[in-house]
Amino acid sequence: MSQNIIVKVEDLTMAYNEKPVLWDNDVDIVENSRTAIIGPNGAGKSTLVKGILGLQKTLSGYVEVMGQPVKQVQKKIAYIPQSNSVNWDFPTTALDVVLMGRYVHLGWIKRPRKKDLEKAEQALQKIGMQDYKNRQISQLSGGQRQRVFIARAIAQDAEIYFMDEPLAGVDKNTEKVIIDFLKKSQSQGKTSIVIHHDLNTLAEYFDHLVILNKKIIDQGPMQTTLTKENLAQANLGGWLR
Amino acid sequence: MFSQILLFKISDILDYNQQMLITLLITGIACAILGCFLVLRKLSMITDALAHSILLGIVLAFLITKDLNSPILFIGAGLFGIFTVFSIELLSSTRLVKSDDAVGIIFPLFFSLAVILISTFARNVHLDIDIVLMGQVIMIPLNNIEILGIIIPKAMFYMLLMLVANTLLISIFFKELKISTFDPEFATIAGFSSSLLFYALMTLSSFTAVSAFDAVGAILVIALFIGPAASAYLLTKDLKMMLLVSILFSVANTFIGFFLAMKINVSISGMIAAITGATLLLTVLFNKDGIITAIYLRHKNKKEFRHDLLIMHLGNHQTEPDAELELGFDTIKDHLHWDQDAIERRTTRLIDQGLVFRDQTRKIYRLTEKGQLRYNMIKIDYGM
Amino acid sequence: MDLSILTSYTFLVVCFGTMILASVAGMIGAVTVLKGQSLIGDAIGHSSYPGVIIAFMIGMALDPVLLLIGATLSGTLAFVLVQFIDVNSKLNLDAILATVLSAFFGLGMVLKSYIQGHPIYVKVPQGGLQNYIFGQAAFIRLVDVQLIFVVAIPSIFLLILFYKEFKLFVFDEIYAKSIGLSPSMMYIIMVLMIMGVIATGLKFVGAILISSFLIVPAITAMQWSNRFNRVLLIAAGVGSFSSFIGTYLSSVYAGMSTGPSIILAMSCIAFLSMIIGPHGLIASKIRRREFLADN
Repeated sequence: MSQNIIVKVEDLTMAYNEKPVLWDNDVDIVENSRTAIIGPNGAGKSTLVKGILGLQKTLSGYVEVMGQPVKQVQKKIAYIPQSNSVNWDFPTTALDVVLMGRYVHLGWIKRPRKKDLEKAEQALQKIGMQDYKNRQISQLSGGQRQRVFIARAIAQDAEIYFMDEPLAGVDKNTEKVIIDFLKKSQSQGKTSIVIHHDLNTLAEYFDHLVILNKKIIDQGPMQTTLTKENLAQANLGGWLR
Repeated sequence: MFSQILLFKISDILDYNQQMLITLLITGIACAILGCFLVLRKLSMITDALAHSILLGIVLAFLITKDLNSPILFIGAGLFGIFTVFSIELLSSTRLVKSDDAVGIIFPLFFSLAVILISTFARNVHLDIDIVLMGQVIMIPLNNIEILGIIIPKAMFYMLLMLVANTLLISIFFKELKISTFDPEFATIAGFSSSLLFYALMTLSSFTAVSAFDAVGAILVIALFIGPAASAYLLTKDLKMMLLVSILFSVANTFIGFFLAMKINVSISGMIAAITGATLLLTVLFNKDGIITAIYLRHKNKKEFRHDLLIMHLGNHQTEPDAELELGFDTIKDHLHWDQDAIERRTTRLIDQGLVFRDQTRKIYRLTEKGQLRYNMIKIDYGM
Repeated sequence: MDLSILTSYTFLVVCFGTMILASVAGMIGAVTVLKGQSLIGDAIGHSSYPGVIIAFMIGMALDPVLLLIGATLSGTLAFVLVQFIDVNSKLNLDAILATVLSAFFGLGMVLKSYIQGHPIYVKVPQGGLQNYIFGQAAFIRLVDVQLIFVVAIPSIFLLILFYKEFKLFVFDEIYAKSIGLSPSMMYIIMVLMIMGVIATGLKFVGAILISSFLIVPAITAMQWSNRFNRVLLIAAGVGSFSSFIGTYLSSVYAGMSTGPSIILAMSCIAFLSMIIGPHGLIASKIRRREFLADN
């Protein structure tokens, strides 16, 4: 496995209402890894991801993705936000949501073409949701919704996936589908960065780890980073079985 | 007759303007104290719906009684207000629409019906839509009724009645209203039915709105209910204070609006509504946690915070092998992503304070001993 | 039934105007209602009133274009104020909306009473100003309908042009931002379109009721379809059909103002849809019965 750094974060400081949430952090995400970000509540996990993606203002530091500022490579990044950010009453179907993944390639004003529709259908198929393509999004279960969002990321043809707690509140089956998808993407050379909350499945699902508690506690390959000392330092000690 | 001997006229002790002003003050206070609960329960737009839709209640009751001064009109319109609230609740409980949308459907419908009924069936009657919206403050002292031997302007009497009723409800059920406003589910579990209190509040709001409607018009009713309570909400920390402060705001708005309107001879109720908006804006700008303070603090914090950040950066990196890159005189700016100017300004400041020094041999910025202590403090301060 | 009215010039002008207005309003309303901003239109509608009066005071005449500009400016000012207070205080949006709408309308009342008593303005005929509160079809001129066209066509054009962007913005704002779509830009376009509808619609429907042109057809359409594009089309259809009915009623029966009549028609369709629509009360009752029968 190559050891190229695909996401490089240097001295990143971010604040919410002028109170620092993240302090002077350096993060290196290894290309073609399955990296988990863990940390206690309020550790700034979502903030870190939003900072990397340029969704939230930073106070200092900079971010490079694939050696470029993030705005330059937006097309290659797929972001799956926490599911509560979505307007569930919106009248739209699963297929339509997946099709939104193609928008980034279309730019302003242009409409999706047949090719985009095909990509969207394929994406749904990959995640086992083709039978639900005409269902309204609000009529799907939590797990099914999450799969639709994964399909949207697939349709986007991205190189890097950022996911904010994709396994929160989903059924076992969906959890398996999502993890299989991450593993398969890795075999295709893609990188995923996932905020995760379950220490018990951590080593099984991911190969790299970032431990965060306002500051980076430690980062690196799973075997060397997932230690009792590190977890204790992040106030996560009690979580481990 | 006996009653004629004891007959007492409000107009004997208050002149024309005083009768208007006092009626307006009573109206304002009666609305403001209920308004506090409406604002806290996020029901402000319900007053908008009430103010518009009780017109239909008044029209329907009028078509039945054919008398604009009948107490049945008052009761009918009040009940219709409750019906409006009930319709909105019912509609949003079907989950077909959200509660904001339910408000947006119900009140235009009722208001439209009222407008149509007025213009088709009640055309020649003294029920002008202009008056409905803007009221007729100037007419208050002319429309008197006799109650227990006292001749009193009708609007003043009804508003006094509502002020007493509202004060009674709030003082008797203060605890219950407080808890069900703060935590409706807990209140229900504790045995205080939230929906019962909700409808009690709505009943009084409806009757207060109906009484005020006649004198000050629909638009000012909304302003009187919500404006002072919203201003008070920004200034106070507990409910009792909020009630008191809302009364003060209401009195001040009414005084200013009334005298200004009299001076330049314009609509009194319009002026009070406009002043109410203006005082809210001023409160938003100048309260303790308001925008002006926030801008000042934000600026001050930002400056201090950047200095802390610089110290953190130095502390984190000066013992590491990459210190020359991270902290170098010319390279530190790339790592913090600040411009050279800002680096100079901030380091100079910290050097002046004796927290940082220039390590000329390694060409890097470093923390002094005092700076090291500060670094440890910052770490503790920000919980690391 | 008096059908001859259907061919009268005045009827055709007014009917055409309200139908275009309501179909545009229906589509734009669908965006705002889905974005959870339905009562913003109510606040902007009321708040445009003082602008109308100020425009009258400046122009010393009932010039439709000037009044339109006045309405737009004061409505926009109110919107900016609402956003400003919302961002900078802990107040709830509905309390802000209620206070701002009553304060602005109050200011309108103050200005109106000022010009009524003022010797300079007394000479200028002001009868038409009344129509901006409730709308009055009888006072509609061809130029008012032309104004609707001038404003409505660009609005629809914007909506079609940015259809895909609007969809993403309403459905998932954070994802939209992550792929480089600026939400503040979309808000600005949305408010511009709302303002256009309200400012041109004032004379037809009035400041108080114009917001229902945005809300009611949108809610009706949401009862019938799960697709955004169909919701937009149905909202436009419901809006224009109600306008036809409402304008007809108000032309036939003296005293039935156009705005209230249209809203009456719209509301009837809305409630009917909530009862017989595919998600409606009857459908869900049947579903419940089937569910109980199955178990």
